[in-house]
Amino acid sequence: MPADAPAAPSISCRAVRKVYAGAEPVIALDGLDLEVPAGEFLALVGESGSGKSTLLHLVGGIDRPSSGDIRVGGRDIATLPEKDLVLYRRREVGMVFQFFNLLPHLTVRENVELPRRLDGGADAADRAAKLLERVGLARRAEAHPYELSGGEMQRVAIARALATGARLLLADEPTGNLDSRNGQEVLTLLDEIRRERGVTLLLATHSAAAAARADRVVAVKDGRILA
Amino acid sequence: MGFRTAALMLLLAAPVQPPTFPKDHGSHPEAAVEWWYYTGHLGDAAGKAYGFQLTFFRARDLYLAHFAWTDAGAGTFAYDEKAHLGLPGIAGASETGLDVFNEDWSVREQKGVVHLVAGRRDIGRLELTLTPAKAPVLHGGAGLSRKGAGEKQYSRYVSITRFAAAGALSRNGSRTALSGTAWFDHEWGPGALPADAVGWDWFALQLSDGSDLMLYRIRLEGGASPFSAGTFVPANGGGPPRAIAWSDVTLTPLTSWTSRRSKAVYPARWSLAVRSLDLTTTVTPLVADQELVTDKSTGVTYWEGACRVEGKKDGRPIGGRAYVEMTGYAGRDVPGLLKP
Amino acid sequence: MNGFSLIFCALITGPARRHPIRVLLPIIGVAIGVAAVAAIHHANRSVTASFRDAASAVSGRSDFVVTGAAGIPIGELAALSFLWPIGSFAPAVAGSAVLDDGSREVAQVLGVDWGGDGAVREVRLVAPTSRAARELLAQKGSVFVSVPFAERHHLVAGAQLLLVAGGVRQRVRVGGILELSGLARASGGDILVTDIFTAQDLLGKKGLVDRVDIVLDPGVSRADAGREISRRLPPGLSLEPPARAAQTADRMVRAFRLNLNALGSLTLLVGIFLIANAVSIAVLRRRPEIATLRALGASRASIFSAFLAEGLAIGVAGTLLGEVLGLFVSRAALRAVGGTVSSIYLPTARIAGAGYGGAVALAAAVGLCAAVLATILPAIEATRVAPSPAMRPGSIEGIARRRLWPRALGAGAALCAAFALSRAGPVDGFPLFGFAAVALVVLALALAAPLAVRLGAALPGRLLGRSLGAEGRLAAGFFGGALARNGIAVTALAMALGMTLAMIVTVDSIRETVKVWVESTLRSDLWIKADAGGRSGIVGDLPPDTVAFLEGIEGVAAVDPFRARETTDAAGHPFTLASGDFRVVARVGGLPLLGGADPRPVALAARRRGEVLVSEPFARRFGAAEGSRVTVATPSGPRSFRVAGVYRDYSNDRGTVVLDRALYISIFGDPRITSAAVLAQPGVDANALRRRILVLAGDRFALSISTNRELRKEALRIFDRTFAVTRALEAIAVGVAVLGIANALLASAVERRRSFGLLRAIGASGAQIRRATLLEALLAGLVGTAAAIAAGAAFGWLLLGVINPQSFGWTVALRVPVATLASAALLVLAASFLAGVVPGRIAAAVNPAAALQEE
Repeated sequence: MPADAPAAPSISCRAVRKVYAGAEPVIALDGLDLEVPAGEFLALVGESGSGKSTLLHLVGGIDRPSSGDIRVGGRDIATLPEKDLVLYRRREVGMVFQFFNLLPHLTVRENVELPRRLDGGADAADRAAKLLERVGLARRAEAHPYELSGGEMQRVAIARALATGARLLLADEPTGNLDSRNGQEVLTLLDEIRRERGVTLLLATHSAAAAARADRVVAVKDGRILA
Repeated sequence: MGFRTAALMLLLAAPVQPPTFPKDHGSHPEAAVEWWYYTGHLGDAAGKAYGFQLTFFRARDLYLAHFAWTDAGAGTFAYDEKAHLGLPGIAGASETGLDVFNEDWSVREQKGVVHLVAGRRDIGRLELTLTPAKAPVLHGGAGLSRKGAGEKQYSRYVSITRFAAAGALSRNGSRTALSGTAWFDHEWGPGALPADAVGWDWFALQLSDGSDLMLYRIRLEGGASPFSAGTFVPANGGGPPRAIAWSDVTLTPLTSWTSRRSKAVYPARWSLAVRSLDLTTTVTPLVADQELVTDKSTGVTYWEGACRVEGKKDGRPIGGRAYVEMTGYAGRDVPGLLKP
Repeated sequence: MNGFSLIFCALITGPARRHPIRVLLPIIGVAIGVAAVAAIHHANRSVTASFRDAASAVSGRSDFVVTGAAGIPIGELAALSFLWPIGSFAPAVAGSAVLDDGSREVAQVLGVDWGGDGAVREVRLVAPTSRAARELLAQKGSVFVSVPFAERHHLVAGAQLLLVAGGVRQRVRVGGILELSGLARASGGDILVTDIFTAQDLLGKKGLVDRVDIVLDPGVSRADAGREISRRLPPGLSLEPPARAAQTADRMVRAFRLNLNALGSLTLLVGIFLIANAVSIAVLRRRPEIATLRALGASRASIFSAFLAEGLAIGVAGTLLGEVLGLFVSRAALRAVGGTVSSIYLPTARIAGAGYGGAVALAAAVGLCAAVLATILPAIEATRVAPSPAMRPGSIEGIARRRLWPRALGAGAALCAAFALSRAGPVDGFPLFGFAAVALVVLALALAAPLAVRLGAALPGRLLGRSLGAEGRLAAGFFGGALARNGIAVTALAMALGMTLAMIVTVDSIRETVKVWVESTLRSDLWIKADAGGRSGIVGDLPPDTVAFLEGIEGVAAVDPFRARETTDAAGHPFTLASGDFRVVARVGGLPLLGGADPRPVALAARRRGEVLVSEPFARRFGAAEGSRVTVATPSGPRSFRVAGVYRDYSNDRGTVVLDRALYISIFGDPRITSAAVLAQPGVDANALRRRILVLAGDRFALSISTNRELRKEALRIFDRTFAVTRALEAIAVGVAVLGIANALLASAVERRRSFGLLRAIGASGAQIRRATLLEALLAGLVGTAAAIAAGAAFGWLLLGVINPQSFGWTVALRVPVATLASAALLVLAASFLAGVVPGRIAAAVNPAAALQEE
């Protein structure tokens, strides 16, 4: 049985480019460099289309850069073979999305158990119960996503992101679809959890209030970090 | 005089065409039933005694055949049977002379000599040449043998009571030369027996003085046997055959033998005496079990076997061989062309 | 639940619970396909097994069977007597009789060598049991019947039985009752077992037997004995393995069976498209979930497996349902097939249901393989969904769009290959390459369908847009926007409808051709055969003196005695050997020659030169042509004849060789006749003449007489019955395909909820959206029908030009029944329009706010 990732990883991006092919190629990232120390809570701010989400997808291993290095915990994930990349996504990263991306046909509990189950973990139920307790949704475990409010859905998504014991948490506009009260609750939860667990947290956001909670804030524009 | 006796007198008085040979050794399709019966006593160079029986039956279109082989030295008895419709290459009988066959068993006369072939894979193939030692005998009046009082209860009955037999038994490539005597009976007619007949016994004795004796007894319910008779054939030069009336005969079973197959109990040794011939004999089977159970052909279970004859004639010791047939001891005879 | 079952629940069972109808449709599709395959396989297997059982009941333990070109003269049995030391042989006389006891049933008659027959065949007598009764055995004129036969006809030993055999009404005595085992099983127990002589008398076969079965003793070399027997056989007799009879019977109906199989496969093919359709819809629908699962670390293999499992689940459910359905369908199929076999091919054949197990196993295997096959491509598509949400839904359509032209090119290549294959000849009498060409046309259809959808959306889209305004434009957009999915649905419809249209053309063309042929062939006023109990086929033949009897009747101008008997060539391929009076042909014609030459001088010349005429199926099957030579087994050994001409014949697909009657009798010594055509003198009423003949025939002949008109009607009735099964299968395939359209539309409606919501939000009314959906359905139907017409032309050309001549050997004049075709197409169009009703209602009912909330 795989253990939790050993420690919060550092992240190092060097000259990362990402170009989407098409009739008119779109340059999403244009030689981006970024260093994130282990355990840091970094907020990425910038306008829509600046490249924040692309960066998170690349770091999260759900997309590959066109060129450049992305090292997570010292390992270059840009060149990982597909098989290892699947395991990387499964074990080492947790992602939270603006639109929650819960699986509608699974219950809250099943959604949270899913990543650990994919890994064959016998403790999936146990972990899911603890995580749901932690995010305050233990009593909604058997509900389906469409029965929950937006804030509740995002808390389920956070619990799911933590299910395999990942030490790298990527949150892409997690409050973008929530009202301010729910948004604040979700941010508080993320902040608490990263402290409790010793997690490196990358947060992409429009919101200044959200960015204010981070250890450090960097701005992204036209696919580069603004100095 | 009862009605039955009157009818019988009438029939006996009716003129009967005497048979002509060789034509009448052949088949008589107008007769419902017909059979050709060969029995014989053989010996090999080592002096061992054998007996054989080869019978061809015809019931309308149906041709049946039995072959039995007795090995007195080994004390064994084996037989086989066949049944077919009369079809070319399968079974049939010529109407112009003696030529009867069923599969690869046959008797055929050529230039006064009879060629006999029969056998079975495990018995061997018996091939004999039979040379008549006596002229044909017509039993009853001109060859009409009564089996009962009924209109159809008779058959035409012709015998040649003695042949010189020579030939061999071949089996698995080995060939045993054989010689001895044989006996031929040929009967044809409506084939009916009295309704109260339970069976018959038939004796064919070849005595050491060159004379032969045929006797048959139709056993009726209650033990009577009014339609039983015989013919005595003296040695060549001893005069014409003589009819024997049953009142002249004393026949006593001495022991009995029980068949394990059919559970039938057969007389096993006979005391046989004919007063008019001054003949007293004991007839003893060479092998106790010479019973045929013929499910595949006639369906009749009967005992027919080679026997030894010892006794006195005209006060002098006499020996001989006999074939004895006994039917009706295993219950009612049931034709078994189809398996029940 | 483990990881995989969670994925399976997330992608498959969860959605299925929400929209059961979408799963139900493909399940029903598969079920129908599986049922058709199981039923047809079962019917076919029953036919083969019945032939084998019937043949083995008659051949018993035999190692070889001797048969003769014109029966076996009984004297020639002597040639086999050398066999006795190493085995046995049992001759038999075979034929058939019609029971004249009111039941009008047909029974096989077999005369055997009582006593000796046991070496080959077994019978067990159950009644009578008494000795006296059994002595009936040895009496001629007794027949033995099986227990079920005796019960059905209320017979006991000693009872009298009236029957028509050899064209004569006769009376036999029941000699006994046989257990239903061994020989008595032949013809399902409908057999009269008797002795050879009685059978010869009954059937008018004096001095002849039909077969001799040979059984060798254990340890005797079959090969050596076979050689020795062949060496000693008189000319005209031949030695065969006992299975040959079953093989020959089987070959007689082979073309019929194989075509049924091919049609059953078509139904399943439509089912495959339905599964592919359903699974690819599921993949499209669940792209967001697939992406999320992938982002969470689900591997491609597990996504693939989940969809494969869905296909399998549909396959298993459909197969199970299909097997149960097949059980019922197979009974109907068995009746239909059995009826055809006994009415057209073998009147005494009894087709009993074989075990359903083999059909179950085959249909299950075929159904499951079909399911897996149908799922593989969509499941692979599913694994291509990237975990990143960067690819928007519909981009798979982009791929479909990019591949449009390469696919169309592929379709062209497939069509070319199909054309090339259609040039190839049959394989062992089966149009293998013809059917392969049909499969290639289906492939071409599948490849070209997205392009057809695109064109269909573009061309009539403009028209619709102009005449129907916004809804029309919307409908065209909807339709063209789902190329991949609609392509599959359109393919399924086009394939099923195309095949149906092609079959309509084929069947109609053959029917019309047969009708014309019947009219030009049937020149006589009356057609006479032995009383067959009201059956259309021939049961037994007529005595030779029938001809003189008919000729002597006042009002009869000419009698054409016809003789036909089944025979085989040296390789065991069956054909019919016939004889007719070529002088009558020379007088009245009625024998349409290929190429249209006047048959009268040809018949006269053939009679003078001792030549033969052959039927078109014979010419095709055996490669004969005018001027070539054909070899026929005769009592004096094989004889070769020059072919004087080839005539059209649709009554017999084995092929026929016809000799002039005088020549036939001189060679075969067989004066009996199978049927006779009678020409009435001018002014003599056919019905009156028929009555006169029947009265004069009295008890002497048992005749069945048809007038020209009745015979024509009968010929078409048989024809329609033969194609009834075909038509039923076609209807099923089209029904399944319309289900496919409904399924695709339903999926579209559910998938486009957001679009519908948006449309409602910007002011479209529910009614407008419903109309647009209905129009889309109509468009799908139109494109499908248009493709079907194109495909139908290809299928029709293959069926009429390749498959039909190769399997039946018939030249057919093309006839396009426009009205029937149009009504079939309109029916399908209406059905697909109706298929848009439910999706339209769903689309119209979308709540715009809720739909926009959903991602």
